[in-house]
Amino acid sequence: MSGAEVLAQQLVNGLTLGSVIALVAIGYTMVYGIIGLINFAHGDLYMLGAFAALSLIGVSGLAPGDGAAATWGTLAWVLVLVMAFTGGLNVLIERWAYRPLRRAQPLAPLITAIGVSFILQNLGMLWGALPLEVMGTNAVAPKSFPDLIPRVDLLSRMGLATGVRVTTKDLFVMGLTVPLMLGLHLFVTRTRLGTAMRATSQNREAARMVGIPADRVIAVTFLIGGALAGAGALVRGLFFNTIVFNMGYGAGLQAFTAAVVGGIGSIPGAMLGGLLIGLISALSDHLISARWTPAVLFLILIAVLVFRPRGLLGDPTGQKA
Amino acid sequence: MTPARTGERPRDPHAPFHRAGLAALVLFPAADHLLDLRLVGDVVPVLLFAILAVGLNATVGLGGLLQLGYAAYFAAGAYAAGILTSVAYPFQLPLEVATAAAVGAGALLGALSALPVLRLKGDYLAIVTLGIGEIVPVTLRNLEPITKGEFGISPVDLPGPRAWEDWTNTTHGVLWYYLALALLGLVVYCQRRLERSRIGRAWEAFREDELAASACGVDTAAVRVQLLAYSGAVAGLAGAVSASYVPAILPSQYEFPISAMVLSLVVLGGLGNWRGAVWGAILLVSLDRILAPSLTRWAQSLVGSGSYSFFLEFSNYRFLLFGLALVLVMRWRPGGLFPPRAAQERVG
Amino acid sequence: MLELSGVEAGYGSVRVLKGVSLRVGPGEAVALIGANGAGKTTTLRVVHGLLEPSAGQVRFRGSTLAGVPTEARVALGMGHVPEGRQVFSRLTVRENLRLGAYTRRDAAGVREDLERVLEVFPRLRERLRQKGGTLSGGEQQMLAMGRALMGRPSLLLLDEPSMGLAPLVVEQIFRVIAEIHRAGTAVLLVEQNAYLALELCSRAYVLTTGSVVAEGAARDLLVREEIRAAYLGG
Repeated sequence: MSGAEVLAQQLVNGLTLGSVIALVAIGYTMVYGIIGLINFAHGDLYMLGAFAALSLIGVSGLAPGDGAAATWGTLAWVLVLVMAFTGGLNVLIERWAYRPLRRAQPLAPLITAIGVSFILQNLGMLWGALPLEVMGTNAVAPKSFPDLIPRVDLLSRMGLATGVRVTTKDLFVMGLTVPLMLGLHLFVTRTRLGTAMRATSQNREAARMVGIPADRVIAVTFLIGGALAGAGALVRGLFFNTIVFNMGYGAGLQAFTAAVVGGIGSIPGAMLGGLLIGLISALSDHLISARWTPAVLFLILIAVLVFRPRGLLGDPTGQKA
Repeated sequence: MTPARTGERPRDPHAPFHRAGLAALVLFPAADHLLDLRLVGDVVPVLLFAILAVGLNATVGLGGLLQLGYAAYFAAGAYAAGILTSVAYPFQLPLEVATAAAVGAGALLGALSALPVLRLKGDYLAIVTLGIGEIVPVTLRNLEPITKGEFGISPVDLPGPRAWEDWTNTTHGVLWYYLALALLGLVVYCQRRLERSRIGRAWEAFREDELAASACGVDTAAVRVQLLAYSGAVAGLAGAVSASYVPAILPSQYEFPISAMVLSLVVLGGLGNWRGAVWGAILLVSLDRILAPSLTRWAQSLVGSGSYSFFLEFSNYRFLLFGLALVLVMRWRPGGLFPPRAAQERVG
Repeated sequence: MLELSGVEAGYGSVRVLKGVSLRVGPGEAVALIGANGAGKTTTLRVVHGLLEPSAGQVRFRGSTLAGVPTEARVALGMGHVPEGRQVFSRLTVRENLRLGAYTRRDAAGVREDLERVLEVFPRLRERLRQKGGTLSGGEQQMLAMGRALMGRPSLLLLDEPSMGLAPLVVEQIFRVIAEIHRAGTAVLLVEQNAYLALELCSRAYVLTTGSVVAEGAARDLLVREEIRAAYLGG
């Protein structure tokens, strides 16, 4: 492939990966924006979403090769259920673990989040040990996700002679993530509840003073962030065809880096950051080596925090404490 | 609690516990020998984690600086000691030199880590430390020519026990136990001196209110360097000891779970109270390394193996229980098991 | 309409209010004046619901406010204009105003009130699409007031509206407050600028270190020696 083609391929890979990262990054940024907490457990919630998706698909009996109607039909309700699961779980976590600490010393919520992260990770491990067919035989090994989305090379189908591959799988990822992000953007900017969410992030007391039920708005924030992570998990499973109980940590850090780079607290920032981190990951994988990519991402994270803490689209007042 | 008269330290209500704990630590090998428990070798990690916990407590508890990548400094010490002593490398220096180098490596890495965070605080500072804690193991894994990458440094040959099997040899186990205990004592001594010194007070002022501290003449940039270098040095020391204890030094042993675990020990034991840190290490590591396997063996003897054997293995619940402990303690007793004296006065 | 009896409140071990009692009748304009640190803002925070009193009662329209969270008090008819304006700086003027009507369900009434608010504050109409944080201090004060009015309150609580504003702007603001009062809304005004407060309101309370040391008709307080000396510059 020519140099330009290689670059184009990385662009495609990066955007695909990046849109999944963006979905998870939105969860981090929304929670930080509204209660100033770095939700360490968010990546592990995403992982549980993937396990839930796998289990549901297993239960449904869907297999590669089943017709389009059966596949899309099943995946539709799997998506809804997974999003409800991760969204609901996130709401419960907020209610029981974080809300009681609203007035505690600043370290407490962060440490609690680490604790929740441990709990969720362990739950993922135990989930993987359940005697379900989809979970395979080895409890802690990566689980294989059925390859339900056909991988048809679109560009060659269209008659273009190029080494760059854009497949139906890529299209599927964009087809799910883009509408979700668009939907979120519209919700947050055009609806009453969305505007109330933004107001609560900016000034919780003033929001309560105009009658906004801050606690409920915060719960909704967790619900939406969690649901988006669940959607991202389903997409990831279907795209990469493998999930593992400790994938939450790495994915979480990628997504968090994306949120910071884009501007922590800014939803458009998280989307932009996600795409950027996806691109940078793809380029780093290709130009340097996949083994070094985590270090590259962290160096970027540190550089952003040191030189431009508000990120690309963030508010100059930035940090919440 | 009534305020102390000037010059008098308030009496610690937990003093009897601490004295009992100290006695238990010192006498344990004797008890182990008498009761033929053969646990001495397994207990050394408890002491190592105690050293790490006291070191981290200085940064997070005394200085109020949240350090999320502590394992990196542990790794620095372990790798430094490993490289300088192992037969896989040309150096093969004596243990004392290697230990000094390990402490130096930890301190140096700590000082370097302070550079990016000179002007950062709170959450952002913590995230940078997390990032450093991630970059180090990745670098160690990838710089194969120097660190032997994924396969680690092995065999690790240090004067003293030459091979892993020696740990079941009681005499050697006891030697290493007392060595580790002595080093813990050294670290505690340094901690106590620090707390009473000007530097320690500057650290506390920094923790309470950075702006006010700086107005009183505290160099807040220097404090960051001091905090990270000091805890780095302590971790380096622990690294040197651990290097001889493990069969191989692998990058995977120095990743986030270790950092998180040490942080949990410190928090659960009592943030800001080094005694709490030691207790945290004793309780949690013992539960994890000694109680859990025993429970597992007992459960398996009842039920036998089978498709549910995974669920009977208590070490598989380790993080669940850990996490629960953190969540519950933060909720109900945020000061930890042994909150530092000032907090005791406030909580009353 | 609003009644505080024997309210004690504080932060942690520091007791700020040591038994405050005051009353605002329907349609009345009442001032709460006093030096810095006297507890004026704390009093309002108790009325807002942001601070729970350790003793005493707060009643609104006859029923107690104990256990009623801040967000619910708006629906009861209280409008809050907090200290320091506290506009939503990254939301537009229009969004700020509409949020003031968050608890209301009557869309037509909300549209009407928005029009009315923009008539009272024409400068806001010019800036409808601008972000709240880009407005000047005086405009932000108008925005905060407009936002509170969007809830159609029967009692408007104002916390230091003159703070940090130029005298001309302050005059403007107070003219608007007077208009609002004339239209029938009760007002509880906490103010550093005692003179303006006493001019506008019919009754006043003087707060010193957490207790009410004087109360009465504003006219009377204006001429009393001690009051003039302490708060009106002699």
